[in-house]
Amino acid sequence: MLILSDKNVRFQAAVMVLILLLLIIVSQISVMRMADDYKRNMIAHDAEIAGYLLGNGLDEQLIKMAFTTQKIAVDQKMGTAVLKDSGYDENTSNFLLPEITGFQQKYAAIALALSLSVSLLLLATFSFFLWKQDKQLNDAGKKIQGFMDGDVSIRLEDSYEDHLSRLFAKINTMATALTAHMEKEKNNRLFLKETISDISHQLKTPLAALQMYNEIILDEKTGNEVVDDFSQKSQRELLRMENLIQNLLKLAKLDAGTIELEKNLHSLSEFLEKCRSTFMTRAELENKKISLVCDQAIRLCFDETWLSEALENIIKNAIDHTKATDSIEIYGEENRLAIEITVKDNGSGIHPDDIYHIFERFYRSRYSKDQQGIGIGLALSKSIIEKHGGTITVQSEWGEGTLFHLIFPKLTNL
Amino acid sequence: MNILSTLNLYKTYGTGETKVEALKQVSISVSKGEFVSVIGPSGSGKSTLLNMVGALDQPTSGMVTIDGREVHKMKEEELSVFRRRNIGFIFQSFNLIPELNVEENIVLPILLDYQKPDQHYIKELLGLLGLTERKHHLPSQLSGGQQQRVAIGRALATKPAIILADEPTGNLDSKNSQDVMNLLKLSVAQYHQTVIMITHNHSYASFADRVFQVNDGMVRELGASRR
Repeated sequence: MLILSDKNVRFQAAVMVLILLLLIIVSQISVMRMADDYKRNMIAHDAEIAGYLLGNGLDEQLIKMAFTTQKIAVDQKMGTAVLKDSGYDENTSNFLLPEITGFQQKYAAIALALSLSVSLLLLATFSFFLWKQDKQLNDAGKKIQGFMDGDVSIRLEDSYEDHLSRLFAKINTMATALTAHMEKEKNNRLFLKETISDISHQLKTPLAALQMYNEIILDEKTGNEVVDDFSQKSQRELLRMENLIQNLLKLAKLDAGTIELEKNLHSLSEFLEKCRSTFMTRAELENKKISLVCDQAIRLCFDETWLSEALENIIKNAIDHTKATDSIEIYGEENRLAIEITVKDNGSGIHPDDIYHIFERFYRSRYSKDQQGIGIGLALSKSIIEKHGGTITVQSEWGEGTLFHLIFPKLTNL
Repeated sequence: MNILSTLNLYKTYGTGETKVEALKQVSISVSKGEFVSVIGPSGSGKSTLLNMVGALDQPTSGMVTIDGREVHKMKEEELSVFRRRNIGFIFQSFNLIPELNVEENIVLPILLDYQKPDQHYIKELLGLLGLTERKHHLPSQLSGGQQQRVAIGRALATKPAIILADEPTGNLDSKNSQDVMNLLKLSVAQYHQTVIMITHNHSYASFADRVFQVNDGMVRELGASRR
């Protein structure tokens, strides 16, 4: 009975039963017609025989008797023997008997028409229900696709009794659970972002005070070498901490997905020049060279503030890991598929053990002599570049130098 | 995510002289997993509100959306299926079927939908509600508190999108009321269910994440300004 609870199946079964019932009735009617026909043919045949016998001078009474009295088996046997002599028996071909041929042709046509129409009807019903179910499934597929494309309020039609509806009801429950889960996850991330930014903001105030006190101590010029030395050191650490807090704030914002990039078309060479000039003073101070090669015509769609953050982290990283007289090269190139920014240095390079981890947060190399970094700059760069639809890759040879590739597919400019 | 939302809901009974406006311009929304209680004096429209959001009655005007589906547009035949699958009810008078035992009462809504009950889940549910020992008892052999726990189990059985409780503790003494409230709270937290509960008892209203107050057909959220 479970199957018949499905309204569609019930309807389909009803239609099928109706068609089969129709077949039975029509076939019974045609059998009745067949019997009538047979009778008509037989009487006509008998009449012919009677007429023939009468014409040949047989007694009328005898002929009447021949057709109306009850015959016995012996009569049939004798008659068969007589007729067989003239080649007229059960084995006579149908073609030689025009009445039989006509009869056969007529009913063959009727049977064919009947079976053909019933088959077609059944086939039509079957394909109609198949089409209906197919449509239902297709619609559901489209809705599920819509759900996956982000319209989380879409639900399948599940207010019927049929099997599909029951399945759809389960899918709907799943969709609701997924949506609720997603919402919760998003809220958690927002909460985390807010926590990080709260902590960072709370830290900023005492940090600013500390920096001020430190400057006062430095300005005092006590003449005490130890005090001077350590106030210099704490000044450096304070700056580092400030940097860290700022980077953490940025990373938190990026992670929570709350920032909207203000993407505009900019000239790439101008942008790279700006980034380079930020580091020129430091490079001259440390006797390092920064060169830039970029076609003036290249234009890229990006958020200037954020991308310069990303690029400056990479350049800073290069300066941190090179020694005096080393050089850093920046290239901006365009090909048919993508715009590439390359930052190349011939500094200390990255140890093979490290290369898979350098974009992880707070990853500190065992091999790097640099004590200044905190391991967040490259992670931040990667987040920013990925938010621009780009990718960042690194190639490095330990002791030879490092090559960072920033690749922005042109599709994302749209 | 809003599992339930209503927009400008109006319900009027009768016409002319005897016209009663039971609900006026009700726009509320409830998120998944929330425990919401509705309080208000008798005749203020609490039960009408519950009937509207439970798709038991059609609003005069306005929209009711449950889990993304517009309930006010559905036909009666669709509604009965929709209610069975998406809404669990707990009534003041339990409304258990006297001829069926505890377990049968709980799995009834699942069987009505021609589905096989998940035995593991039902067992867990019976354990949570403290009814494992009594699963073969008839409702008449149970106390009021136990009967209401069976009703809670029945509402939870199909894991509906929303559970509506109309004064679930109205017929119980204070000890049993406390038990039933604790269980309701615990079980909905366990299965992440959404509950809308009508209550007269202000102390039970405090169980809820949010409280709606109904007065003369107008619905107001208490403490909404804090949010």
